[in-house]
Amino acid sequence: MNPQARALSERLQAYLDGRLSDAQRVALERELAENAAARSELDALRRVSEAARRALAEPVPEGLLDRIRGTLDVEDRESDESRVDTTSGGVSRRFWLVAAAAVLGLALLTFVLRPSPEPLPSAVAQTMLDYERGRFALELVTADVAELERFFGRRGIRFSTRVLDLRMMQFELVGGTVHELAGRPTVAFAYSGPAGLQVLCQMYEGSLDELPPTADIRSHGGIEFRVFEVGRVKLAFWREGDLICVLASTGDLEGLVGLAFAKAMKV
Amino acid sequence: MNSDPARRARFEAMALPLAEALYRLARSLASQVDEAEDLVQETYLRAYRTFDNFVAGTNGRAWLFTILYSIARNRHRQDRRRPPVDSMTDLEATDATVPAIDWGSAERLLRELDNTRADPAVRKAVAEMPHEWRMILGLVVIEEMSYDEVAKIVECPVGTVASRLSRARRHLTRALIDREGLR
Repeated sequence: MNPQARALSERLQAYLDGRLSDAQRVALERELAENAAARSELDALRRVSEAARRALAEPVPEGLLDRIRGTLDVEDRESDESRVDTTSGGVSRRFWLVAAAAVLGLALLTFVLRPSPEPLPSAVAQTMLDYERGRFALELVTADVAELERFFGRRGIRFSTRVLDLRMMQFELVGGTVHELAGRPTVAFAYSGPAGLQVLCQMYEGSLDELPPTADIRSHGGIEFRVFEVGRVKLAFWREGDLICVLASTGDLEGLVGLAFAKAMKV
Repeated sequence: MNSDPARRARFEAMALPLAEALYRLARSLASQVDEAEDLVQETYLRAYRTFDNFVAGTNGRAWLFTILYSIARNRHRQDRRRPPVDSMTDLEATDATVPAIDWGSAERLLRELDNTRADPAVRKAVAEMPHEWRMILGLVVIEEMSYDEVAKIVECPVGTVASRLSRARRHLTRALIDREGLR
């Protein structure tokens, strides 16, 4: 298509979609009165749009609204299950309060007696599990790195978040959110990889010295990685300037470490 | 997030009336009915989880369309069964080299179009388009959204919306002309 024909086509389309100013519209209508080919093109474009509208306006499948409500019901139920119910099962509230106090006391005792608490790996692992179960929602769903970084800025994050595009590694950015991890502002962003593998990356201001000891310390490109396994969650922490970056997933440990190496080296 | 009946009611009041529009859009992006339905359900689930971020009184339709597009785009990119020809650059380059349309013939053909026979051909032609063209065609032609709204949803300049829409319409016209059964 030559540039003149393309320009006319674009004006015809703008006319069809109501995007011309009054003056442009009047000028085009004058031109149309003298140009049969342009009239044919406009009419064809109008008819093809109507054909698309008609062909794609399929009725909503029967029961779709009920199925949507069912999906929301499941989501509500899963949210409720995460809460501690102190009154269920027909057992008295007093019994549950006593039991809860006993459990709390035991937990406190265990905590006090523990020589080396692991707040950060446990907190990161819990976030990963919550994300996998749909209980840790991403405030912004986007595959756009720049959009997510702007969002973190709007949410008051002052450090450079360095969200990376990992599509070369076959990991697609899903979105992100801001939350508190062990009492500090933290950005979290998720990737979806091959076979639906989910990986959560979190970044916060801190130091590797805050982590408990681990026997699994790796080095790659002069960067130290502290690796943990908390239940079925695998974690790799490393330092990026004043920030700590941690990747978490319930997939293969070496795959996660390899992804951490790649992400750290891309910075 | 724990369930909250008032929050659920607010969400349903805002979002459920848009199910038909979401389904129409999903259907223009997905080749199968169950794929479109799954896309709509996933959109509702994501929207419900992040509903606290939605500002009441703002454009709920655009918000839901943005979520749907984001999910559809991610799925599309992850679906490695699709042939690599579905690349914007390739198709836009192809579009620039095909012969010009004879609009007089096109108009006559479209005027005499038998809708029953044309609908499957239109759906097939739309399914062959790049993902971004289908989305833009669906938002402008079917949902009658402005180019500015569409540009925000698909995250591209308004001029790109206009040029992709123009290509989508031409592609559809050519497909209908070329379709043997419609000659």
